[in-house]
Amino acid sequence: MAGRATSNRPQDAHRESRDSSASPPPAPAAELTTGPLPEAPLRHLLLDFFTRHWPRYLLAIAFLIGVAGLNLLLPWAIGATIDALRDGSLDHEALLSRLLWLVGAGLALYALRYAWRVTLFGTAYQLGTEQRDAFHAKLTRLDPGFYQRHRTGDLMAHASQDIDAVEMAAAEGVLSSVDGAMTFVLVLGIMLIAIDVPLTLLALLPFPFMAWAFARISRRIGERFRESLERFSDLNDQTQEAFAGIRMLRSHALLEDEGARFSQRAAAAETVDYRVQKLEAAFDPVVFIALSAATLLTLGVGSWRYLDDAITLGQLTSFTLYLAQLIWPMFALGWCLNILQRGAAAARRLATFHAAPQALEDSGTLDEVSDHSLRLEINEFHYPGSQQRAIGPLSLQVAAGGSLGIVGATGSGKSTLLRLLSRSWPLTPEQGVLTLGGREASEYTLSAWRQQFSLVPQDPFLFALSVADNVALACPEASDERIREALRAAAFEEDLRRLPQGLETLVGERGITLSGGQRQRLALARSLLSEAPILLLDDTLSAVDQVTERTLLKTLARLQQPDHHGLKRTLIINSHRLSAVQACQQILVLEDGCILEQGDHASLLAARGAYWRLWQAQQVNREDDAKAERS
Amino acid sequence: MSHDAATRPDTLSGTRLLSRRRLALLWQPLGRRRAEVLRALLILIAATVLDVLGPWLTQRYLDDYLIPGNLAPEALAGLVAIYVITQLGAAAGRYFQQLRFSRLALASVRDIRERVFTHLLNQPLSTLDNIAAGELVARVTNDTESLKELYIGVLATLIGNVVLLIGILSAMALMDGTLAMIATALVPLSIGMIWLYQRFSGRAAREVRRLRALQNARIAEAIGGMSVLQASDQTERFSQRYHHLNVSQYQARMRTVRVSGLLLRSAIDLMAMLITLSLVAVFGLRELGGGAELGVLYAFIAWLGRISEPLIQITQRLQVFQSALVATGRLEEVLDRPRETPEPDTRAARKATRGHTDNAVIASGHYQLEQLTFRHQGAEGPALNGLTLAIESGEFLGVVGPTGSGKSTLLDLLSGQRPAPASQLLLDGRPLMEWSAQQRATAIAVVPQEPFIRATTLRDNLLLGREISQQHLSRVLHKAHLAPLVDSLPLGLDTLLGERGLSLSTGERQLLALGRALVTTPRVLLLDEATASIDSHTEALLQQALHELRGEVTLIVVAHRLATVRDADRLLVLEQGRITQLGSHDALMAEPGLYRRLWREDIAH
Repeated sequence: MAGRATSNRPQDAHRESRDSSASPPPAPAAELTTGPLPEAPLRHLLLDFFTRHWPRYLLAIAFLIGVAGLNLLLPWAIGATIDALRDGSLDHEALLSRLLWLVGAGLALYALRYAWRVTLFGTAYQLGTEQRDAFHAKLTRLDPGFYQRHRTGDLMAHASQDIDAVEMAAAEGVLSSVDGAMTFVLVLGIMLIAIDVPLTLLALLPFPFMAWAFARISRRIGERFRESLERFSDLNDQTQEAFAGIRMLRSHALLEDEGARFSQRAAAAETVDYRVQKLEAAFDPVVFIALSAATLLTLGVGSWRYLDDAITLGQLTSFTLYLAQLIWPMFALGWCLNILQRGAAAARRLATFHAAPQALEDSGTLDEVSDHSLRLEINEFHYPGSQQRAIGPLSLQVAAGGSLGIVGATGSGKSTLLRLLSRSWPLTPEQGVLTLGGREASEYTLSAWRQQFSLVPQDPFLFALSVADNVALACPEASDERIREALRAAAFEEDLRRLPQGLETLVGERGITLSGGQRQRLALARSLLSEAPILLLDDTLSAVDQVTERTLLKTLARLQQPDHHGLKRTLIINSHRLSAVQACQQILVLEDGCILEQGDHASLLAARGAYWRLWQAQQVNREDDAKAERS
Repeated sequence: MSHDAATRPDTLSGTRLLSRRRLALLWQPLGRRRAEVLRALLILIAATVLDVLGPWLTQRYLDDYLIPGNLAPEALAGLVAIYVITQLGAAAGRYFQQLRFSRLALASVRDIRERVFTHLLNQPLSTLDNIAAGELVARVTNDTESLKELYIGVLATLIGNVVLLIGILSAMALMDGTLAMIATALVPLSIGMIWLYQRFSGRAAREVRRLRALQNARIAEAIGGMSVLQASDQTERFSQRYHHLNVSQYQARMRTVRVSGLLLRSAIDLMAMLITLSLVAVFGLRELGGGAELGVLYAFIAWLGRISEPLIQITQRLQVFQSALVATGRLEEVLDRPRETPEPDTRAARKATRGHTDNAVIASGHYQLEQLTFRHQGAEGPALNGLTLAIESGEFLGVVGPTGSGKSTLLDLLSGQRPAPASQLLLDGRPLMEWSAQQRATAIAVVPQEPFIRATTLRDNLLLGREISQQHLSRVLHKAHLAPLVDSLPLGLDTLLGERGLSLSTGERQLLALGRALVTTPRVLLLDEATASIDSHTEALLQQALHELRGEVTLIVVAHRLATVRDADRLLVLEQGRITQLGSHDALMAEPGLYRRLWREDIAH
């Protein structure tokens, strides 16, 4: 892989992984997260960015060269001035005009410094913006399985800290490497050429040691820093869990235990943080000792050269000033390594993220659907990474405008079936065939396919938007009137009246909290408004009381009538409660991913099989008591 | 708290950022370690003295030895020895003081973290329910993490640099008063720059933080709601929305870069250069006037190089300090919230009731409700109003009523999740809240609507850190009807649950909660029936388990489906916080009222 990777950009690697996910049998879950990666993700990422934005980088580097050049001027000028004063070749006026020139150079330096900062950081922040956009775009292409396998916190860390680290590498990393290298070459050059070769060679003896120590410390900081982030993330997880489970902790008198558990994690975080600090503290003595040693050597060797008349006292002063300027390049080396290392680790995580196989392939071209009859044939489907068969063999057909009810115990494959229909999960050719209007699912674009379906999930998600915006999610232009109508049809009218700002009430994380049942009805309204021809309800009618259930069933029955376009909607309903599917034209009873029974309500009852038994179980109390009450 | 504090603009003005109370909060963990602080400070001062001796020694060498041509080997050897010793000493001292200060800083952060965590954990439910979980976590981890920057910055960088600055300026003053005055000008000039910087960058920096928080929120939302966005084909629109946010944040950041480019490092470098030139000017004038010491200029230049660096470092840390102080403000708010009414297991209360509660156990599941009334914080009317009722030990009581009638509140009071007034709710003859949390936990078992699952193994979830024998464990699994579930899992009890493990259905989670409850021998079992769907199979298992426990414990079940509690000894009908009916199923069916109406509705359907 090494040879290939060097010629590949990260994007190519993504494309590869996407292709490969379609053919071979899926790898176990753990390996799924690490698709093929470029060998040096940070380099690829930065090179790609440099190639696209080289003019701005070049400009920033030109400014940096200006800064480095002017920086050399001052020590030289001071040394020259001292010598000129000592041999009496400088009078008051000449001294002042010389100093004024230097003030001018200082101002120019200031302007150049400002310019490179804005140019370089501006460019690097743009990289961050690109990366954030790319991150979001990738999120939109990932399947539910991915979200199941990854913690929200980890993904959030990629989007914030990791992109920050890459940005930092593009800004400070470039700065420290270019500026550091340039300063080093220029200062060394001027020391050798303009001052004295033996002095330079001897006085700089401690510097290689300094660079070596810097690099060593930086590398170890990188390792420790990663540990520190991990401990922090542990702490985060535990805190999150504690507050989510606060009632459990209280009812089992575990508050103190939890406190102790927290102290342990906090102490673990403290220990690794201290290790990082300890390494960072080591930079200081390294610089200090190296510089002191170099000063000692400068004075020693400098005295000898001065007494030999090889250099002047002014040159000795200039040399000492240059010496201080060499610390930065030595430090830059370590600093740069450090930043690049953090950036590389972050880029690797980002590349892993970007290389996550996109189970959802979007290679179809059809974007028109003429006929909404559905056919699904499954040989055997299992979720990637799971050995267990989730569903199949199974075959079903739903005519356009028809209705299908699916009942069965938890784990019987009901939800999987809806996920497959809505293409939240792909079905490989070996696993089965899914067609809409006689054309295979993969022939349609993902977008066209999705526009045909509207899924009301079991546990709907609300966005931090107003009620209206949440309902109008799929059709942002819908009028308030249509939104109200959809909410009315979803039996949300009463709830809407109680919301403080009506349609404009904020819900979701920053807004008011709605109950599970309210969320389901809001999601149903979302689907009703969407006008998608096929409606998928995943146990939507389970968290509502009987009165509401009746209202909703009426709404669903209305959908089966031709609307103003003459269109009848197809309904596919999952339910535990048989009352919700009773009216469907066709009902499937699933067990272990296979169809156990099939038919309409009356024929299934007549068959006196599993459906009948379930019906009895759900009805027996009601009927008993109806009798009891009548007698 | 309806919106995230992190996105709220910092209304705290510059002066209020550093209130006395906030300083007290920050000082508290250090105050506990005063001796260590002092020791670190002494090392720092000693190191600084040794440090500034370096340039002084070079000045002596240049002016007294080299330039006059006085190069006696013994004297020089002494000078070199002193130089080497002081510089090595300074290097070691600087290193060790930094280690000590870092250790202090990190220990302080841990103290504050633990304090905030336990404080929040012990808040009444009424408080916790009103704060988004994400915000609670942010207080405990992110806000304290920014305190880490503050402590390390102040202790390890700021103090060290200030002491160094003082050391250098004093050494300069001792060597040459005039030149020292010129060099000292760098300090007020830098402070002026910092002031200007704060003034101009404040708003931009706040805007950057606000947009950053928004970016995080949007990503969190994208992760949580992606399946919805995908299913409704809105991914493109949301990506665009996020892109616009990124662009705004970019622009805000560029504003901060421009301000800092104008006023921070470049400006301080410029001033340092101007001051160096002034020193050269004074030196030159003296030289022209005859009699200037080159060594002095040399030492000053060396010292000056050391001054600008600390100033720049301080300036760069200021931004971090500012946001850390804002975070401290939020922590202050958290710590200001009162804890829940002290429980008997706090020291004072334990003293008061010592003797009978300490070793006592709740022996019977007999509840006595005397005019039990409860009002939620901020609510207009009471959620429960004057409930009087005796619940016999071993009784099966069903609780029914419309949404909002107070069923869940009643359950919370009976379980002690919310504190009931002492005289209004007794368990086994004693006010419920006078039993310690531990005693209550042993005797009262709760199966909530949506039991919480930890991200650990099924076994750990069941035991919650308690230790029981293998036989007891299998008895628990059997009684809670968990055995079939455990057997069906490839790893059995060692199966990982939670965010990255197996997800259980609501019904299975309720069975698990029941199992948790049965690890001890409870006297009372409170069950809040799931409103969400339970599949018929699991529901039947749960019913079966309850049925088997009947008579062993006081069984109080809040039901949403009437069939669940039809067999109860007594049914309690709650309407608007009051008991409107009480009796067996048959008795209630025989009288007009809500119960019969509900049944009819059920059947008519």
